[in-house]
Amino acid sequence: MTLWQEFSKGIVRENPVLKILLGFCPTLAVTTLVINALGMGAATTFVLVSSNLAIALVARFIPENVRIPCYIVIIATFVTVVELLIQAFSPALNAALGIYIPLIVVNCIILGRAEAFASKNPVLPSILDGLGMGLGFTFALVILASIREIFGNGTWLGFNVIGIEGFSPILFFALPPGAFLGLGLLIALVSAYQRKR
Amino acid sequence: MRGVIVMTIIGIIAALTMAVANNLTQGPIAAAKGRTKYEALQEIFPFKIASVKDSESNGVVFFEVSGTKGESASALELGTTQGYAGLIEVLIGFDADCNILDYKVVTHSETPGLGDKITQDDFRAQFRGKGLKNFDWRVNKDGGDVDAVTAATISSRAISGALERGLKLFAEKYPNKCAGSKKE
Repeated sequence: MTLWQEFSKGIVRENPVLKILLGFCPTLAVTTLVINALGMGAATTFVLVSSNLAIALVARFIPENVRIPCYIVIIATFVTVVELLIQAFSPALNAALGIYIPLIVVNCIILGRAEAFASKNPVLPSILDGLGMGLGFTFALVILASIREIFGNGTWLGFNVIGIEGFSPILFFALPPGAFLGLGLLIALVSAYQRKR
Repeated sequence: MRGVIVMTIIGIIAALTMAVANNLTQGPIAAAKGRTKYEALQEIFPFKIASVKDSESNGVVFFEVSGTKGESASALELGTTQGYAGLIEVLIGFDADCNILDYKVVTHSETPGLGDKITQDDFRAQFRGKGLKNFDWRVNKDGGDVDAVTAATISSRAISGALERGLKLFAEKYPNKCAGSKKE
C-alpha cells in the first residue's frame, strides 16, 4: 500500500464508524450538534495521531504480554493532555462534551489502530493511518450530527437553515432514538453504495 | 521481568508528561473559569461591571458586584440542581427589591432543542421582577405561575425550583435588605 492509501483508507473504505463499526458511544452521544461533533472529532484525531506515533516508536521494546496495558497508559496520557487543553482554551466545548472527553481513552478505534496498525508499522505510515482514521471518524460524526441538528433543531452549525415559517423541529432526531436511526441509515447507505461498485 | 521494567519506564514518562501538561494549563484553566463567571455576571446586569467580590457559604457563592458608575448589585450561584439529563448550575442576579433580575445557566446538559430552552430569553423573561411574594414558583402543570417549556416540564421545574431556592437563600443572607419581601 502506498502512503496515500494508508491515509485515505480510513475516510470511506475502512471508515472506523461506518465500515468497521467501532466507537459508537461517542458517535451516538455527542452528535446532537455539529459543533460538538467537530470538537469530538478533532480531539479524537489528535489522540489517534499522537498515540499511533508514540506506539510505532516504542512497540518493539514492549514485550508481547504487557502490550495492552502499555498502550492504554500511552493513550490515557494523550487524552489527559487533550482534556486539559480543552478546559484551558475552550471551556464551552468542555461543557458540551463533558464526560465524553475522558472517555476517549476507551474508544475502541484508538486501541484498535494501536494494536492492528501502529504496533506493526513504521512511524510515518502510522501517523498517516491515525490521521485518516481520525478524519473518517470526524466525517461520520459530522454527517450524523448534520442530520440530527437540521431535523431536530432546525439549524446547522448554529445557523438557522430552515427558512420555512412555522417549521417545528422533529424532536425525535435530537433524542437518542434519532441517533440510532440516523446511524443505522448511514451504515446502510455506505454498504449499499459499496455493494453497487 | 523485562515487562515490569518497560511498564515502569512508560508509567514514569506518562506521569511526567501529564505533570508538565497540568502545570502549563493550570493558569489558563483558572483564568477561563474566572472569565466565564465574569461574562455570565455581565450578561445579567445592565451596567458595566468594574469589580466582583465573592464569598462562599455551604456550597452557595454570593457575589457583590459593583459597576463603573458606582452601581451595586448582588448575585448568587447555586450548587448543582438535578435537571432532566444531568446537573444544572445557575447564576442568579437580584434587583434592589430582592426579586429576580435575570439568571444565567452556567452549565447544563438538557436536551438540545427541548430542555435547553431554559437558557433562552423567551423563557427567562417571565421570571424578571418576580420574588417570593408575587409569584407561585410551581410550574403551571402543578398549579403555579411558571409557564413551562412545552415537553420539558422537568427542566422547567428544575429552574423554577432553583430560582425559588436562590430567593430564599438570598433573603436569609440579607435579612435587613430583604425585609418585607419574605413570604408571610
